[in-house]
Amino acid sequence: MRLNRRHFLTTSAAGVGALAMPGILRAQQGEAVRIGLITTLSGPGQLYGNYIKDGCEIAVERLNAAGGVNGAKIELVVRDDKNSPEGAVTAFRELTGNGIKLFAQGTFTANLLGTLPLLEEADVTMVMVGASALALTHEAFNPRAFRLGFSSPMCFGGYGTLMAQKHPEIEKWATLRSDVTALADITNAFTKGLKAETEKAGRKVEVLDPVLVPYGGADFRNQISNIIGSGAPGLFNVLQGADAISYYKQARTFGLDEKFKVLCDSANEFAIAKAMGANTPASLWSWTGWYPAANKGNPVSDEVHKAYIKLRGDEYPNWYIGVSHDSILTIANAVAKAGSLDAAKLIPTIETETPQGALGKIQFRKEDHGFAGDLTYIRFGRDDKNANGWSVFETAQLPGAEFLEKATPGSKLN
Amino acid sequence: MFTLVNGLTTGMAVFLVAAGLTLVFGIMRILNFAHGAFFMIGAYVASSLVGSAPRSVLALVAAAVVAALVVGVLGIVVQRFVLRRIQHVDEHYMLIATFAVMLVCVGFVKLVWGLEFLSVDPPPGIDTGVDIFGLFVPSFSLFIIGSGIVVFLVLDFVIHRAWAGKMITAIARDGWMAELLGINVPAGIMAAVGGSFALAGLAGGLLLPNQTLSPALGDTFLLLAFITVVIGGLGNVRGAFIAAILLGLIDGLNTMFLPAYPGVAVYVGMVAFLLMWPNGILGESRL
Amino acid sequence: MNRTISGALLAVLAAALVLLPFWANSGLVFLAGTTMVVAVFALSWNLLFGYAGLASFGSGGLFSIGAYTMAVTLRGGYEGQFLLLIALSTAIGGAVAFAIGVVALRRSTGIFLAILTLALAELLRITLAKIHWLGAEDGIPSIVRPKASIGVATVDLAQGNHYYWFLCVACALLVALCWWIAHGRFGRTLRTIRLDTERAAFMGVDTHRYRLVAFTISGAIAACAGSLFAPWAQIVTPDIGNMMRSTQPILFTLLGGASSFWGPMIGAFLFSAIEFSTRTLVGIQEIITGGILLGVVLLFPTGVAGAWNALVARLADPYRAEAKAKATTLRPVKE
Repeated sequence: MRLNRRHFLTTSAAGVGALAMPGILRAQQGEAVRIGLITTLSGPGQLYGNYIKDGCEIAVERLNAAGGVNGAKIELVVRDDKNSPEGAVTAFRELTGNGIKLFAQGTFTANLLGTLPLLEEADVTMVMVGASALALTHEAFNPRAFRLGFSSPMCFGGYGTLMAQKHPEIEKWATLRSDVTALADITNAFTKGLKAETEKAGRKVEVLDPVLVPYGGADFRNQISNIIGSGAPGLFNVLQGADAISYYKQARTFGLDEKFKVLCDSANEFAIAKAMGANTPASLWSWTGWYPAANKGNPVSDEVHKAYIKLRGDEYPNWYIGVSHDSILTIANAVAKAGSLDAAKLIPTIETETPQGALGKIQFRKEDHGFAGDLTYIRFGRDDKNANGWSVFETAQLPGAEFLEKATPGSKLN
Repeated sequence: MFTLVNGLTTGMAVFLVAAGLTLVFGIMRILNFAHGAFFMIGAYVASSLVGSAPRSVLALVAAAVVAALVVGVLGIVVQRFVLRRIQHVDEHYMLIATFAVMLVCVGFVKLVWGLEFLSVDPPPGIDTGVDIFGLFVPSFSLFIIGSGIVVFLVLDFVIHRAWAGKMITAIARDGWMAELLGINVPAGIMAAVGGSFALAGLAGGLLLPNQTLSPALGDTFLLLAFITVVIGGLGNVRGAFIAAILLGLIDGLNTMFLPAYPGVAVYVGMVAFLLMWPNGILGESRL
Repeated sequence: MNRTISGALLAVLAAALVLLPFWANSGLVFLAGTTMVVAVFALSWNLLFGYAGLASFGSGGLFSIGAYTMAVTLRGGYEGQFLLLIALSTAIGGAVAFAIGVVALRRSTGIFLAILTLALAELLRITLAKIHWLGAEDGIPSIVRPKASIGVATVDLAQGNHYYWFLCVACALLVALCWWIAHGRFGRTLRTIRLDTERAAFMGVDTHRYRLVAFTISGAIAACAGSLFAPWAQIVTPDIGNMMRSTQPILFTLLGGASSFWGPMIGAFLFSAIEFSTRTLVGIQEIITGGILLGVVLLFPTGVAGAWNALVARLADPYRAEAKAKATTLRPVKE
């Protein structure tokens, strides 16, 4: 492989040294490095699975354009988990049966819990894409798996802290969530962070018990009227996807924008604005895992952003795009540095390496393989001046490491 | 009090969806799994027509009518090429056929409109609230309640009073006899099935500003509509109307008295109901 | 003649299944194991539908009860008594089905029964998703595959493909049991009831009791299938008994042919084969599955088994087959 300065710059930005250990993998040259991707590509989770697939494909394309892994091309083998653990296990066993040792898997926790016990037997190294459930790095911890996702205490504890700092005047918060246990963790984390930060400043804050709505419901007006009746000036909304949008839509008639001083959405970010356009709430906070405009100066982020616009014509990629890109990057970088596909060599490499990804430096905590990236929060809302009817008003970032929960690999976090 | 008004809104929304379902049952004796999917297609078609911000109530209603026509034609196609061909086989094959049609419809929606969420706002005129004796009621709720009542009255008139309804009733009761009397049975069934499917499309259009469009939209209403049709007495439009209101009220009371278990009362209520009145409120009806 | 051809085919397929781990990819083996379990599950459903004429839309709930019973007892450290645990799960499933049957069967049949069972299964799913002790939505993961001991011999099912072969044996036994029930006196009486309830009652058959027993047996076998499934998948979630699970046996049965004893199994394997062969076509799964289902229903309205029987009959005796086909287009259960 001939080197020149320009070439070096482009490849190093990708974080993968075809240059790192050119000798070791020579035997594998020409043979592709296969990475299995298991995600949800049918049923209700397909929206997110498609983002993950797009992000991974962008990563593969970029890495291959930069020379691949030590001269070998990366090949992504995509399978649908059919929205169920047994679907994920079928796909996993099929791919491991075909000799694949590297995996990226993501969307639903239960599907990951289905495959995690199988990693040992098949000698597999896995990156869990965007996974947030605590179980994955605590009671179900598996040393072969790395969570490239934001745990609930981290991103929503940080969220609560941020709101306590930005809006010390609000003394009463209402919360709203679907009747799903995973969302209860999010609500609790937010409340904890909010209370801790307020008390640190010597103030008091009241957080009302969450108002529950059925998952996938069609009508939220009863709950809207309950929440507005509570008189709380702050609202933390943990509905997801279509439910959240329907909620904002139905709540608009009730004067959502006037009744609340601060509106916080958990993690739907631009999905709301993209759907509601000029009728987006006047001002809405949301957490996001990756927002290109907040990562200016990070060339990888910019490149992934550009690649996504080229692919889908959408200027506001979902955060899964960045996270899934970095998942593939993590694996590819480790293979390049370790010069092997063996988990025994890859695991320590991933633990110590800090490749530059779209999200910044990708670094895992050694004890439980949790990820502590930057936490990004965005505030956006209706804007008649902008052609699409809305725009982003402000972004705030917090260091995730400060909010990452205690590492207790192998046992439940108390 | 608000719970009651809102229960009525939910009930009427469900009735709009269930009306077509119960009609199809009355005519063809099948529980149509694809009904939710046709409702969804109606919603997507209407949203493509009005965009994300309809200019007036009239524009919304017009879009809903066009959606009804499109879905009605689709329904006739399905009837002509699928349902009619297996009508004389075991009725449970109809079930699997409509299930297959549902899958195809969902896949089709994903291909045409994608997976991203779409949202349509209530048009000006019904996008605010009104004060009724000190009670704040969203005017869109009134629109839904009104639409439900109008659809019910029209259906009831057509079925029980108009000539067309009598003809369809005759066909549904005894197709062979109807044919002897000179009624064009295949054409009659086709028109009736088309009409029933069109109702699904109409509901999709009218309820457009109520919720978010996603390929899972059909599921949201399908189960509730099933329950309504069964509680109301299969194929009985009047029964379905009453059942839908009951359902809405039960759901409303659920959020009031059992806020920790949203959406559970509907199932419990239905189980209790079926055990007490196994044939539905007004009994089964062959139209 | 017909029997010989079909029987030979059955033997070849069974042998292929048993030998599968020696030549197939491990994903295919896992899928085959899953398919065997759901095939038995579908068979239990058709025992109720094809023979007793009762359509349940909540069989997924019973499957789920069996799976959860197994998962909880294994987690509780009772893996030494694996066979006993299967019996326990089966008994609980049967008891629940019996209780539902006592209350519901006398009052509602047909679509009312279908919707009633559907609502009960949904209630169970919602309840399971709320119980923290059962892992709420994420269910119970990392279920161990236990050791099974029969008398003196002990087999460690956690090793290699042992659990797969255990499934082969267990499913074969269950199929044999179903066959015995369906073709014995009990099955014949059920069919009489299904074809003409009033006449059967007139002849002195206690129709309610027969239906109740059929409902209980069907529920017990569904729960048994669930209990076998838990250690196979090694995870159970509330969605194991969702509406899709409840519609599975209906689809398989109608696809394969409700009129044949083997129909549900044929449907299950056909469905899995379709899913596996189209696995790389991600994103258009719904259209493919729906389209194929539609094609089968339109082309073979008596199910695959019906079409197969007609084909074999035609090959054997073209003239008689035609006459018979005309006479039996509407007979769901064939002798």
